[in-house]
Amino acid sequence: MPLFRYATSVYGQTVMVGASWDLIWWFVGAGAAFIVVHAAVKVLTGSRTKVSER
Amino acid sequence: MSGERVLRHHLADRLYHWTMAAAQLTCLFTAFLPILGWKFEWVTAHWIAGIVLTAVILFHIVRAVLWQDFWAMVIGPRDLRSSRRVVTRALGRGGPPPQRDAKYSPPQKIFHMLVAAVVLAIVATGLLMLSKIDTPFWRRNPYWLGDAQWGMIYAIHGLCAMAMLTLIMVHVYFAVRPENLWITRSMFHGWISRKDYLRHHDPQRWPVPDAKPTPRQRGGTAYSASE
Repeated sequence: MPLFRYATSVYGQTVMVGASWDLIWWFVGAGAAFIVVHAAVKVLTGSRTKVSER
Repeated sequence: MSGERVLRHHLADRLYHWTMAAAQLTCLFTAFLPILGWKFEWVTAHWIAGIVLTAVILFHIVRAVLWQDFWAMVIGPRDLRSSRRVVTRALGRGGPPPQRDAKYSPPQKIFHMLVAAVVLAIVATGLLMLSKIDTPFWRRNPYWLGDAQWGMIYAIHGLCAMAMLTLIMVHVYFAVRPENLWITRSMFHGWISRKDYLRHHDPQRWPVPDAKPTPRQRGGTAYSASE
């Protein structure tokens, strides 16, 4: 999976032109995974953090 | 504001938050919808929203540094100790409970730090890209940087923009969680109940005035404190 996009310049050189847009789904997936894991942990632990007086 | 309510976010800060949110969402929609297949003339709306985003962020930085408590959003030793206690208890190892937070919790401070880094990178690279477009104020000059430099700038801008998708998803998720709605509501009408204030915050770390403020009282450090 490429991380960056490349093109050929007018001088014949391969240059990077930006990030690969295929990564969009990885970032969205990372957000979704975090949400799912966090929600699952909250449900499984079912605990409420107690606070203490200083 | 009555004694049962504690001012958490001044009107100026709420307006900043929602203006920034609108500008960011505009930038993200105009950036990614064409990539995903919905083609439309996106460049003008994108750079104008970017200018608005830059302006409100500058306003926020100046206001936070000069008029508010900058250190209220900085992670300190107490935050690290409290976070360690949270993790220890979550793993079932017991130990002392975490202390009440100051105005902002450690996760809020971490999130702010991540968003600040990503957004500043987006803004900095975006401002550089403005030189590549024609506007009513200047003519484009794409040649003042080389191809390799532009490629790096576009890569940073794109990666940070995609990272914003993750951060916004997580931000909205925490905002709509039932146990956090008391905070979310405060970004709309500005206050939290004194009951929630005493339950979730340490008055010694985030002191608030007991007296009723006048309707024209300015926001400031009266209701925030450094670590």
